[in-house]
This record gives sequence, C-alpha cells and structure tokens, in this order.
Amino acid sequence: MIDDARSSDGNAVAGPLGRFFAFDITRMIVTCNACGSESPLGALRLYGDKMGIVLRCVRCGEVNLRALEFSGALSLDARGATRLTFRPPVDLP
Amino acid sequence: MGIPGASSVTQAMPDTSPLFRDWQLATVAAIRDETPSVRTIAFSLPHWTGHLAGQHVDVRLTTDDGYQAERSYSIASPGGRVALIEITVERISDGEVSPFLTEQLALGDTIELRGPLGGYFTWSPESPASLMLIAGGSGIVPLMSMLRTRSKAFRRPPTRLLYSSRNFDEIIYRSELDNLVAAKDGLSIAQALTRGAPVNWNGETRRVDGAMLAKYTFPAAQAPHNFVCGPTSFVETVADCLVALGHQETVIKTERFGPTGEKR
Repeated sequence: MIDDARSSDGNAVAGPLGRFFAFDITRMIVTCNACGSESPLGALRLYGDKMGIVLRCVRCGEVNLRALEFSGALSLDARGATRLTFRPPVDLP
Repeated sequence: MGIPGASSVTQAMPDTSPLFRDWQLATVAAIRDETPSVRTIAFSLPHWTGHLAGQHVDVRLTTDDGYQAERSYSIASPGGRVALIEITVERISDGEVSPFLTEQLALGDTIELRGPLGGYFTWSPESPASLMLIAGGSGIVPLMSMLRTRSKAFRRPPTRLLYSSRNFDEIIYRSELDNLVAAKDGLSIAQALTRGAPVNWNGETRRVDGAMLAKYTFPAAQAPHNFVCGPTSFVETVADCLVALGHQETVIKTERFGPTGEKR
C-alpha cells in the first residue's frame, strides 16, 4: 500500500474523514499538546490508511489526532491536541 | 476565495454541497500522455459544482474479490466550473493504483471518484498577494491548476514557479509551461534538473536548496503566498528553507506525497 505515490499529509483525509463533518476539516487549526505549535490539519503528517488514521505534529512528531472508522462509526482520539480551532472562511479584501 | 464565474460574491467553498462527500461514477473522456511515465486522464462526471485550484479528488478501485484501494489525486484542471475534470498520474511501477490508471484505463471506462476535496492547499485569483509555486516531480499538478486558473483570470498577481524534475524527458507539461511564460503576463519559471541535463540546458542542475530558493523566490518582505508540493523530503526541505528566509509559516502551504520520510 505504501509504495504508491499517495499523499502523506492531512490534506488526504478530506475525503475519508470529511464526510463526518459539516465543514472542511483540512482548514481546522490544530494546537499541539506537546509543543504548542499551531498547524492546519491539512499540513499534519499522515500515517496509516483510511481504516486507521494517525496525524502527527510537523514540528515535534506528537500524535495530535487518531481516527478509527469501524462499522460506519468514526472514533476520534484528540488527546494530543490542546485545541481544535475552526474559523469560517472569510472574504479576502 | 470564490469560484470564478459563480453568481455569489461571498465565499463559496465547493464543499457546501453534499455531493462532494459521495462517490460518483466518472467516465474517462480523454487520455493524454505527458511523459513516458505520466498520463493525464479527463473524466466527465454526473455532478460537478466547481472547484478551487489545488483541490484533489479521491479515486476508488474495487477488485473482483471486493478488495478496495483509494488514492488521492490533485485536480489539474483550472479552478471554477469546467466540463471535464483532469488528473495527471505518475506511474509507480510497484504501486497498487497508478499502473491501472496509466496503463489499463481506457476511453469510456468508469471508475469511482469523490470530490472536490480539501480547502487548505487552495488558491484563488482573487488573492492579490504574489504567488510563489515550488514543485518537485509530479508535485507540479496542483500548481499547474493554479497557473491555468491564473491564465484565465482577469487579475493575475506576479507569479514565479520553481520546478524540479529528475531529467528533461520527465518534465510534465513542458510545452504548456513554455507557452504560459511566452504570454509575458507576469509569470516567470525557473527549472532544475537533478539527474542530468541536455547540453543546451540553461536552468539549474542540482536539487532545490536554500541558495536556489533565495535566488528565485519572492522576498519575504513582499509577503507572497508560497505553495510547495512534491515528495515528503522535498517539501520539508523547501518549507524549512522558506522559514529560514524569513517567510511566516502561515503563508507557506504544503502538500506532500509518498511514504513519510522517503528519500529520493
């Protein structure tokens, strides 16, 4: 599976996880519980595949989010993220 | 950020529609070889409400015994409402999906597709900031969508592309890039070849590094928007160098592919 030219960051979870959310989660700001850095979910490092997803902090490698999909249910373990911040899209000047 | 041609003047992210969440059957409408190992496939779709440059689609293949494989591919078509959605796929010889897409899929075939997806790595011509695009290999694809979007737009910010390929024959969209520069509309392109170059090559002949980025990128003081796409190690090297050159992390957007930590 890992030998294909697949996306290796949070951008790739827009499809598999996005269907559980009413907004685009790749734009959600994740605050790392270990180092405090803030990063859009789309920029986090991705491990795993669509069955079990692990997203790690780009700066320190802390596991920020774990997502497990089973029997149509999504289980999200967010203990590695201090905060999840979503700002609605704003119009540019 | 809006969709060119959309009636609403307010923010109109395509993901407000429920359709993007659902798999739909895409029909192959055209096939075009870009390089010996890279092919562009155009799909017609029953539902497509428009997309932003930089977004991607998920492709799902199902084998006869029910095994499924999903991959994400950047949309190559310009943003907005287009009749056909193009993806450009590099064949990875031991990959699961790309050999099928580049060697077996034929005109009229159907596959399952979901999208447009992802609002983080996107660009709209309504953004006035200078645009810096940095691509490694097939990382050019979403950036080409941005260039195509830009070339159709009324307002075109100053734009530079730095594009690294292994060798001359592997440069994707080579003639189209030449044509975009020939339009002389504020776009400049610098290219690097990392594994040998023709004798008359006047571009760079090494991997992208800090000195090359300092030479070709916009100064941080101009607050350009930087989009970096390519293999994981390429993207992380470039992003680190851009930070070292003084760019804020918030104006560096990245998209990485390949196994994390892969060296190439």
